[in-house]
Amino acid sequence: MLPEVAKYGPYIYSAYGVAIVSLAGIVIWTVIRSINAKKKLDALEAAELKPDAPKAGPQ
Amino acid sequence: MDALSAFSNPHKFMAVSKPFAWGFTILGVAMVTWGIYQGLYVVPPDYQQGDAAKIMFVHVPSSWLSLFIYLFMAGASFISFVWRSPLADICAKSCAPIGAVFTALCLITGSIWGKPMWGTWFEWTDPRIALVVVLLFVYVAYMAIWSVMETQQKAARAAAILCMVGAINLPLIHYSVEWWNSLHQASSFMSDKSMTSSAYKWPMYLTFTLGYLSLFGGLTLLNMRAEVYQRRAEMLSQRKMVFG
Repeated sequence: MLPEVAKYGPYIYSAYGVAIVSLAGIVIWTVIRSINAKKKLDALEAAELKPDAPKAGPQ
Repeated sequence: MDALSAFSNPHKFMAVSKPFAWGFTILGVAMVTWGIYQGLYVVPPDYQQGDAAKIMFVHVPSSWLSLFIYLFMAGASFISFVWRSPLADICAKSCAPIGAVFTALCLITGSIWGKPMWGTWFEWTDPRIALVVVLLFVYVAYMAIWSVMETQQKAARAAAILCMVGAINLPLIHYSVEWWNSLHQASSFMSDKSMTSSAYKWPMYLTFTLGYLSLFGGLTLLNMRAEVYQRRAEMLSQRKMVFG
């Protein structure tokens, strides 16, 4: 529910709306970036540690 | 010097920074949410500006943060440039998107406040407003350097030089309202001439300023950790390409 403001309502809602969207945006972007970077590194490290599969060939 | 070298060690940084990164981010989100609720629902209209003064609670701390973050970046860039500390250039790089967001927020909310109070959305001839636009462009240029340079070392040097040279803008922004004729009011926060004078002024500015600072600290640390992960991943990929 929007608060009651006697005057300048659209300006106040716009200013607070921009603040909410921009700050939520930078928080979500940063958190996703951090989680993705960690996942990518973990995948690469896991691949590095995994022993090579036995090679098939003539006995 | 020992403290500086300890801080510049990425392994030590990764070991201690995680709880601070998440803690500051959560604290910042909570404080800003509380501030927005107070600003919209609790704070009464100002006797001079009426309800439009509520916009100031979002605008003024974001302008402080846009300058503070740039100053912080310039300090980190100086350390990166002089001592070639990789963590310092990671730190400066990590601050830039957050500083750009606070600068954009300062300009947009200032513009929204300006329409009912000054009768104009934007005044290009106003020195302070024009210089804050320049500050936003410097933030964008700084981020662009990191994304277009061939190597991280070259990008770090070029970005650090730009950041240090761009710091000349900070005193210009601060003193612009005193040195030139300006539509923007002179600094009046600490004086009796302050435009917002309700009893809620100090608690509201304090809540938003500490909330923004906490967000800046938490998000910068998260960004720095992401950058360290990315650099390690790139190193592993390159090693894999070379050694198979």
